[in-house]
Amino acid sequence: MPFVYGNGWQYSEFSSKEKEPYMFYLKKGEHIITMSVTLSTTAEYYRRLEKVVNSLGDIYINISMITGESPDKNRDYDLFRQIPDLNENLQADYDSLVSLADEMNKSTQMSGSSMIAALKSMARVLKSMIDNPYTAQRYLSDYYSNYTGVGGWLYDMKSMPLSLDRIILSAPEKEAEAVEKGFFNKLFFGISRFIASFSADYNTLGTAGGDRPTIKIWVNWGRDQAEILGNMIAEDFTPEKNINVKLEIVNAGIIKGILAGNPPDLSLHMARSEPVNLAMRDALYDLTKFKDYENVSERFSKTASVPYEYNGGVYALPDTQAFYVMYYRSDILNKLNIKVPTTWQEFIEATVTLQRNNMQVWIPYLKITTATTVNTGVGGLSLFPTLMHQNGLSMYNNEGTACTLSNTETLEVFEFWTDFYTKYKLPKEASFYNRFRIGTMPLGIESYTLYQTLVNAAPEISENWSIAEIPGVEGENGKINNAIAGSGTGCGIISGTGNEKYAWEFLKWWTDADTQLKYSDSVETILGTLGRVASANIEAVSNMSWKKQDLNVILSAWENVEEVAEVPGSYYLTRAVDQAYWAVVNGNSSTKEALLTWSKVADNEITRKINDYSN
Amino acid sequence: MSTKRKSCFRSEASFYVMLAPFTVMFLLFLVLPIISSIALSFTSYDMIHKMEFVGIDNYFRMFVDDEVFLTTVKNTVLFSFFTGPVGFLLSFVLAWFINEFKPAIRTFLSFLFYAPALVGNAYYIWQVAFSNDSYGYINSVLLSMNLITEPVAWLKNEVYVLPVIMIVQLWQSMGISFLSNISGLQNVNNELYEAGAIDGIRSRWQELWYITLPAMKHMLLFSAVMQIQSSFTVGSIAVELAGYPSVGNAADTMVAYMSDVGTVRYELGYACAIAVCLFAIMAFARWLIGKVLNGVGK
Amino acid sequence: MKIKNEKLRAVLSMQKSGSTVRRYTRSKVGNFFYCLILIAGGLFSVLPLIYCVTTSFKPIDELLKFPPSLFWVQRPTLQNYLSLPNLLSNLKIPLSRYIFNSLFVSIVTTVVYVIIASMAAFVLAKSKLKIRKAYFNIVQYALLFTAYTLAVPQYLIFSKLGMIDTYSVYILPHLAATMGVFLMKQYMEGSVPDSLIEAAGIDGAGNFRIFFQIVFPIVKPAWLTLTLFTFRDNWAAVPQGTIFSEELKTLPQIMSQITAGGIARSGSAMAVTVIMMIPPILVYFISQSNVVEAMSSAGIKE
Repeated sequence: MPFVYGNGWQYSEFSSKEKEPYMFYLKKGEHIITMSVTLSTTAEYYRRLEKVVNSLGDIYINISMITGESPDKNRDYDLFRQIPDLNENLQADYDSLVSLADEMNKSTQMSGSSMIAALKSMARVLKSMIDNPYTAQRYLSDYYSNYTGVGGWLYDMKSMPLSLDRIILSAPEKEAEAVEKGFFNKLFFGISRFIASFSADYNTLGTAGGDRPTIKIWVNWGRDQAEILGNMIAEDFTPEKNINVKLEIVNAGIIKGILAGNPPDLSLHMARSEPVNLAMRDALYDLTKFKDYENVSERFSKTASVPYEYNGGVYALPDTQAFYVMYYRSDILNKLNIKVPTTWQEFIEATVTLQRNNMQVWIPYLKITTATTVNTGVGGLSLFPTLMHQNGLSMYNNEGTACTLSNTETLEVFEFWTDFYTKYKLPKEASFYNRFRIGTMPLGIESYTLYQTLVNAAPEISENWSIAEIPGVEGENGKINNAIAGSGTGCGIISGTGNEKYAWEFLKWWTDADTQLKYSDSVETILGTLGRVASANIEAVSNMSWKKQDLNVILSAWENVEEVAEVPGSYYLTRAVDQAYWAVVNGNSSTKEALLTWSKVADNEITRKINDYSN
Repeated sequence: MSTKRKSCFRSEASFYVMLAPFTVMFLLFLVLPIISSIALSFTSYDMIHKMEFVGIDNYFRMFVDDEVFLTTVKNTVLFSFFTGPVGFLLSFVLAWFINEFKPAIRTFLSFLFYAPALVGNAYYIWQVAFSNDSYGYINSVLLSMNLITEPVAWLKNEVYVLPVIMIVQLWQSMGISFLSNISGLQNVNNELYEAGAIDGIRSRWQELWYITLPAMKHMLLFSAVMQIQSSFTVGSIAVELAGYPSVGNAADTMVAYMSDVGTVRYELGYACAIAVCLFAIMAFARWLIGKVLNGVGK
Repeated sequence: MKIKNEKLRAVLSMQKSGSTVRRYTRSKVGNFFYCLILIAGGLFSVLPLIYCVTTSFKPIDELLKFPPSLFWVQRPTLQNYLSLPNLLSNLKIPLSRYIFNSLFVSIVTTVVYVIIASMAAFVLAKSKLKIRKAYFNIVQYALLFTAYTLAVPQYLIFSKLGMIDTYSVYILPHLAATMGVFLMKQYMEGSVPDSLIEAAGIDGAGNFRIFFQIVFPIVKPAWLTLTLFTFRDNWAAVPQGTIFSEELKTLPQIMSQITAGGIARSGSAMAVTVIMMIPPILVYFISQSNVVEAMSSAGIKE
């Protein structure tokens, strides 16, 4: 049964060309209706287009390896001689595009669509390059934008979301129902809904009623996520545990609630440094006081609760957790005979080779605004903490009273890190996603959450990339230490509300594998796989849908995650690292000076905060 | 005579009645919080518990112990010294130019300049333009013209970051001062121009200095005060573009620092002290402006 | 009474007719030239607006492209706009309620504020009360105090007054804004001659009458501008932690809840931004095109 594109509700039935509906004879008993999706006539176009797009991508990479991303317009790169078979390939692609466009035009389903225009436009660019071999590089940027356009259409062809409202089985005599209510009907309904909104009692999200205890949760999420949680609470949590939950979407911090004497009982998705900040002000409840805390903590990775520890207690459970993996373009690395690096030496060698071919490599760096500083914690901002951990060092001293920035071992690691930028000239800021997609940055380290973005929004390279664990430091016995410092959020219980017992039940339920999996799946249903949650519950993540070998990489990398602790004043460490980094990278000071200056600043703040709150 | 006295008396009461609604709101929601803020500045308060009275400790710390604070003061003053007067002049000059067109064109042109204020948080474009990336608009243009060989980190370089933010601020600053100047210019008494022409005004510039400006004196004061207010309280532009803290604290303004102290470091008392300090600086600027404007047209 | 009205009407009509003075205006060529320059400059200024509009038509992979293209969309799609009803139809509270909340709050605040601010400004500008100067100074200097640190005391006041989670928390605090009073006062001082008011007073008009019938019409350009600003500020205002009930939330909050859905929603987020811009733009055009019908000041000789 064909479903034609359209935004309103439609009504389709199985019928012959003369609109005579087909009859199905159903014997008495149970029957199963299944539905499978096919591309029907467009399947062939899709296959052919896919081939063309792959070839075009290849050609682009070949060209940009010679010219770099912004070719000099006045130079003669002699492309047609340097790249074997360039002329034939371009010609073949041109012919395919032209014939595809013509056939699509004739077919009733696709004629007039702007996809055909995109194909024709790409063909035009190819023709210009073939006709002007000596100045072909001028068309490179046009080539690229058309190429991504065509690739984007490829993706659109595959994804046509369908919303089914009902399936009707009716006796042959009955009339088909009207599909949509009339205009006045809708208007009347709209008005009555509006009026009702003034008198109705909206416990919109969550559950209420009955003689059950109630806990209140504040979230600062998007509407979709909050509604999903509300539904899950109504379906699973309240019936099972007999506790009501009042879920409110609030865009203010917990502080406001505490100020007004009206705090929530729980907070979810708290930024990394928030739990310790609140704990040291006695605003959160120590979770280790609960007897089953040990059991619960086994759901997470070994060091996942380290950032939420303060003074011997644990004040939040890990809610989400993310860490770095290495992304690489298999097609490009194969072409240049580069093996996937497992140590930093190999990584540097790969970098040098790639740079010789006019490409670049990416190591992570996140620009700091006030929010990010507090939110992500130092582990998720750059490679530095990861490198520290790989060298067996820690960011703070054992007591958590000062940072280690001024130590000599730290200096070496810091220099190693900034050398990437000063010696090897890696870019300090770039859109890795874009360049990876284009192919001019075929190797890079980023959070594993980028995976979904690439899967979704870079369809034309879907076969050509993969992930691996990040490189590590080679130890004396040949063992590679690839520790990773992570980032993430936590969920905790506000102290002093009297509902700690019930709040703990919620937390247990919330961080449970089934719940996390169901939540992530529901979000994905609505937002697509881009909405996937980087849950801290390892079992939940393994049960989400991944490509098998990629999941293995993620899981084994996860074993190596060593989280950075949070201490009072930790945000100053994050800033100190950043400021030292810029001082060195801008050429304004030596690594030693920078570290010494900024470590003093960080230590001052840490000391102040510890003094303020040591009572 | 008696009618006049009676109407004087009557009018006094009705004046107070007219003043009342605003006064109530003003006292309750503005004056009271301001007084509390000032009071808070003498305490150490982290909003969860412990409000301790510490006297002038906060102020002491600001000037003696806190380098970052002094840097932010310097940045804020530099910033305002440049963007305040320039923004003020710009909004007047633009309004003056636009004033002479026909109404339809006038509305259209003023819309063009006022548009950034309507869009709200539109910093993304500027982030892209000044980005370090070699694809950022400015870097890519300069690179392709071969004026530079490597992308310049506009927003992460201590020397460039403040001027860049100043430029963006000016670009975005056509707000209420601009519109109020337009409406003010509309209402300048035409008879004054007539009188001026008779008295021997020869050029547009004389007309501007001797007639338009003095007639606009009241609106100019308004426009100036609003400029002071907006240029001294620059915070979100700097944070969005340069991050906080910016490189070497070069673009940190007092407002950005204040929000950081209050929100991230939970030290509301200290933040209030900074606010009081900022207020003092702005009040001084206001006093200065008053003197200058009095000399216009003389 | 009739005489007074006639006199005033004559005065007012003299204002409307405009005079025929010869001013040193630009030549037609100069005009054209300046117009071009201004449009060029204005285009830079309006870039963020253009960016928002073009971005709202981009499909998701173009949204992630860097650098983003300013003017050209490769595969323009209406999907971002069309998916909004779907996103919004799942709300338990009908969209009409949110629209109502936004409009109600913005319009009430704007209307009430313009009136009370103008009244207060009138007293400050034209009355002979002794407290005028001190009062005005307080207002002016209060303007200069940064709002950030006021947030916490204000929150406590809201809490004590029981305003949290009601409509009043949208409206009342914005009635304390000082900018409007300042603007109106300066404008009245500059454009309303004292003699006009005295003339009306001699004829027996009470203060309220003078205000509403004489002064308010004269300062129309100013309060039109003020309306625009108050409306714009209130339309986009998002209360921070003071509203919890869903049915009291306004459009910007709902819209930002949608955009907080993450990267998958960034196209719709732009569409939402564009739609939210439309009412202030409408108000802008309505108010500014009326500003130009200004009346010049009265022709009463000083």
